[in-house]
Amino acid sequence: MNSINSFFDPEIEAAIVRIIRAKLESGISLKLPVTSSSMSPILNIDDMVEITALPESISELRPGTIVVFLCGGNLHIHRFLRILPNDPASITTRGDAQLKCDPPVPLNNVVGVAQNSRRADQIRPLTSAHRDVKQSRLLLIRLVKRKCLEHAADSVVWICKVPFVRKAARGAYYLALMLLRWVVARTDGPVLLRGSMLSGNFEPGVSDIDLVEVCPGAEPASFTKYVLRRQDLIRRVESFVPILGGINIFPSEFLPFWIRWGGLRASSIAEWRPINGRSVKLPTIQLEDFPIRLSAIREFCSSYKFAYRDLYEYVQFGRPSAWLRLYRHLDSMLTYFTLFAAPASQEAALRSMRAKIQLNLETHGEPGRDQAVETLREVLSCCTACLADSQVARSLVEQEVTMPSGELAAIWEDTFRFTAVPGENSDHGLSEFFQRQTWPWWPAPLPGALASFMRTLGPLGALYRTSSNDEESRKLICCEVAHFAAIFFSQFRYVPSSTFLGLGLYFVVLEELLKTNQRPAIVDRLLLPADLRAILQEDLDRGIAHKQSILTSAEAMAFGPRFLTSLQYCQTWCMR
Amino acid sequence: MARENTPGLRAPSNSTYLIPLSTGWEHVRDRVVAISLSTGKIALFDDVEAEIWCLLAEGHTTNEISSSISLRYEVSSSQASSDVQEFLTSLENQGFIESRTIE
Repeated sequence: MNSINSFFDPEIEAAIVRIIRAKLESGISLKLPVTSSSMSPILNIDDMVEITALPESISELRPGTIVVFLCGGNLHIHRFLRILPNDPASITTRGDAQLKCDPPVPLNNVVGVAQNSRRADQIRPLTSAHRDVKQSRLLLIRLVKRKCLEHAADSVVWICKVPFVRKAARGAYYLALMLLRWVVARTDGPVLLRGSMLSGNFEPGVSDIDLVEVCPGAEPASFTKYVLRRQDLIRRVESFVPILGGINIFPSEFLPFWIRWGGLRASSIAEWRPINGRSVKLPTIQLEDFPIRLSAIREFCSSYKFAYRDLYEYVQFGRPSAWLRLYRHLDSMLTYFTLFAAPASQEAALRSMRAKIQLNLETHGEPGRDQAVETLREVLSCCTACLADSQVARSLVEQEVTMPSGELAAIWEDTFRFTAVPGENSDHGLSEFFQRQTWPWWPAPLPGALASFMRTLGPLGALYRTSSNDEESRKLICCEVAHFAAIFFSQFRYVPSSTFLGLGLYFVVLEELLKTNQRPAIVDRLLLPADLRAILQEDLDRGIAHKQSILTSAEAMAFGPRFLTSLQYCQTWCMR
Repeated sequence: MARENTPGLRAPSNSTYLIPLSTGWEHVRDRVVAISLSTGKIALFDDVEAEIWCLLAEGHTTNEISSSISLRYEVSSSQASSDVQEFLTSLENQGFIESRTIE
């Protein structure tokens, strides 16, 4: 995908289509580099695709042909499937590695047909009108597996309303843990159990098993290989134990960084317990160094996003597991509320609403969909009102963001402020952000009540995005870089059941933070070393942030060292 | 209003750059959108950049472009020359234009 979105304009888009079509018709071919894995494995990142002119009549375009079209300011290379029956001026397209079709593409935006691709001096024809059969089967298996798991989770939640069944289901979790103990028994380093399974506060059908592996330090390339091997193992194990949430793998030297920047997950490090008999001396947390409130607010935002996703799943599909997850997120949010000292009145309001939902759960099961939307809208509006409170935001950032140097403190003091009033732009920007993150669940158009719910997100976005000066933006961004480096350090690839994890998210958020501040040159203003700045800029230019699919091993190998470079920078900067 | 482009235009003898056939471009309002079909790069030029591009497309030499920019924007000729050269080099690196050694 080649991006021009920084200057997206319909008139300019039309001009681009005109120019490319005219050139292709004159016999000159267009050479486009591949910048995403949406057409994997036919097209991989860095392949060069040769594009030629469209046939004279669209009826000559065979289904399965790979076409290039302009959409949302980007040139996409996807497979043409069919002309829309109810709109002959639009076509349906899809990337081979994607489970869902793209939004309808107007024929006016289609510029050409992919003829061949060049990968490492090998030229391969792309004119076959048929999708790779093996790839189709793999996609089908993935789709069926995902659907089965969703229905299984819903069934478990439903049958667990019977107390003794719930006990049996919890027992199954402990059996799964025993299996995992056996799998990791020969691992050199300690494998530690963390999260709800450790505390016993887990919910069958909703919770998963979280593990952390601490391995001796290694140089980046071999460590990357090690992580990839482990993740392959995890995938195989996950086929038998679908409740395995994935393993975070860290070098032991990384633990202090994790504790400092890993958020509230890290605050429970003292409770982690090895499950493979290897002992480990875990670092102790210095509470005075731990940015507890900043972490709490970050976790709050995370729970807020997941609550939104669960709400959408509940409203659209009536999934009981989504409602239960949503309730748990709400519960978490209340905890975080306490940690960052929310105003008492708002905390009380949230408690009251949570009690209402709890009563609803205990007496009638799940509420009707409209009621769910309305209740959650009230709850989350209450939360955003708190978060948008400029005093809360100010105290959080002032006290817990370490300045790179003291000399900027005066500027900080004079100009620091959050513009918490939800503006039109912030509302729209955050909607886009959510749309991208929750893409698999996103409909068009949004139901009215849900659209209304989305509008409450504006103030929350203000917390991160409407900072009023560069220094403040820079600090927030650097903190986010550090946090995501800590959280996603070892997850070069998406863990199959965790759509939101992985390097892709790291870049999504980073890009979003950069973009929404609407300062195109902000990368230059960050206190980054030249090499990291170049990497960051290149990744943003290449649209890495749009990566939604699982990385291939080759891609992960390419990204791993880059990520480590980012991490090393963060460690240097943030730990001083 | 779109204006016809002039791909492959040969410049006068002391010019060092030309727009190859593989680059297409158009005026869109007061901007210029250019596409290099050989690299897949797309660029949008505003203000001075658009002006430099138009001068280049009209066949002016680098020196002529620098002089024009210097006069119009009241900057020193050395500054204008340096800026124009930097811009043209970046265009060349991205495949939008080609340099020619003129005897």
